[in-house]
Amino acid sequence: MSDPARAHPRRPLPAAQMTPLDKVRVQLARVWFAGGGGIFLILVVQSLLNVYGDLTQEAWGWFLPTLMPSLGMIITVLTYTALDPLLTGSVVRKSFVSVALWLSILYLLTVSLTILIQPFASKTPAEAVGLMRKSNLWLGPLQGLVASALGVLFVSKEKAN
Amino acid sequence: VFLGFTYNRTKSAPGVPSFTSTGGGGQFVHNFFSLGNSSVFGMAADVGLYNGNFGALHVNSTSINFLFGPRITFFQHSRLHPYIQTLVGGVHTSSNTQITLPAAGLPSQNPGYVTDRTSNQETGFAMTIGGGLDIKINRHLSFRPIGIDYYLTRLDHLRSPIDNAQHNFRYTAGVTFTLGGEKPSPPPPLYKSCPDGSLVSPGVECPHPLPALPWPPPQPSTRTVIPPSAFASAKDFGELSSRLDAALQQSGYVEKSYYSVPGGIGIVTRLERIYSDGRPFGPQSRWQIDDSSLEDRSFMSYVKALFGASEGYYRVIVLIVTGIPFGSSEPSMTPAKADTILARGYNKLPEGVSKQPLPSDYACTALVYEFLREQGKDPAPLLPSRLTARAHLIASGFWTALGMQP
Repeated sequence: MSDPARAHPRRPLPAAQMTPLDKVRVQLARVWFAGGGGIFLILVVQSLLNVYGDLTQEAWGWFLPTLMPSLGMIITVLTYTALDPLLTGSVVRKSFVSVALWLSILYLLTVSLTILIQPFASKTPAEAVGLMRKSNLWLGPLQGLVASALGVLFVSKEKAN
Repeated sequence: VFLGFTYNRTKSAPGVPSFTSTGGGGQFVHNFFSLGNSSVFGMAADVGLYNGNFGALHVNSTSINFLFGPRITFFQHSRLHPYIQTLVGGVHTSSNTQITLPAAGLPSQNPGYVTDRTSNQETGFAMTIGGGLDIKINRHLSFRPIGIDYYLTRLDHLRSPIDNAQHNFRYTAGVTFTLGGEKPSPPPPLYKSCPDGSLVSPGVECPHPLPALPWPPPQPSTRTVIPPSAFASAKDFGELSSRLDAALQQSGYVEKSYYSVPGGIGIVTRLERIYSDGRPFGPQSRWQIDDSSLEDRSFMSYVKALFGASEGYYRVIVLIVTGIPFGSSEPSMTPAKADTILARGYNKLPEGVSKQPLPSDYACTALVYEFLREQGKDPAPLLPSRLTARAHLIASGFWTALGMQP
């Protein structure tokens, strides 16, 4: 009988299929801060212009749990590694990076759409906030997937290259 | 009460000569109740006195009758009142005649003869069956040209060997005085009051089929009187409303309702969404009152809606045509109430209203109700409007559609 380990030896992936983790983190952070920051600014302006009337708190109550956990994790990890003068030296598969990146973009677009569609879909502040609440139905599962991907890239223990 | 002339023709029996008696009489009739629409039932009392000579026999006969019975009078509400009656009672007759007898040892101015009068009095049964006609002259006076009765009496001294009854013919004529009676109908009014409170000429149909606009109307944001020159050729409400209708159609107000107001009509347009300068929105969103999100499909409109520019202006125009001056009540108009008013009004002017002539001092007043919906709030009346009513009408296109110069 042949040794299974010998039959399927673990071979390193070609370098072209790998990308440095530090680079991926920065890339994801840019996506998240650009997208999240844009939505944040829109919501701030809307609040200042009293778009939501008496329901401003409800609007922010929807927004903060939607983006802040991911943004908080990203900024925490980046802040922590910012104090380390050495690169992590870790690499990550480009395919997974693509998955994480597109999941993040999809999630941010979905969150943005909830706000940007208001002029078409909602006629009153109550309807706008109602739409936000309703979006949790699909944002919740999507946020779980995105958080898992981001967790792997930002929190998981690094493996040596 | 009847007073008049009486003519009697008495025929006792074969062999007994007929004779005529004349006199006067009176009747008292009291009407008790109606029979049908125009007939009335009453009781009559009849008293008559008449005198005549019994043919060639020179028998002077005087009779007094006293009769009582029912009477039915027809066509009570017309000028001609025919009647029928049956009266039962009695008759008292006093007859006398001069007799001359040969004198036999008695003193006499006419030698050889004695002259004297013999008389007889008797009371017997009497009845009449007949009718007549009264012609009403005025409320208290009527003229009776004819009253004919079969007049039956039973007097022994006039009896024949084969019959103890006298079959008479009675004719009466005279005047009737009515005590009480129907009150004269009041003179026709100059105007008649309609259920909606308006006054119209007696021959004109009431405009009450039109629902009534709340009156006085709620305080508008602004108002103006449209110059009468815009309706110079209009003679009645129909022509004027056609003129208004054409101008409203031309300016896009295809939906409207007609109401009645005291002395005239009111036209209510549908609640529309307008810009702050009074121009209406485009056809796509002009009537979408609940859609405060997008004014149009432009990017700027989208940005405006996204960042809270969903406050909007709304407008209802009410045109009132009446000759009666009016003010306004509390500012109670709301968009919801405007929708209700539009729904309850008529879609066209009834013919009876259209044909009513315009009052000589009529005015067409445009009441503009403007509403402002602030962000997160319900639309509220804008009092006063930022624009004049004329500016509203010009911006809506209605003013120029009427042929008026801006």
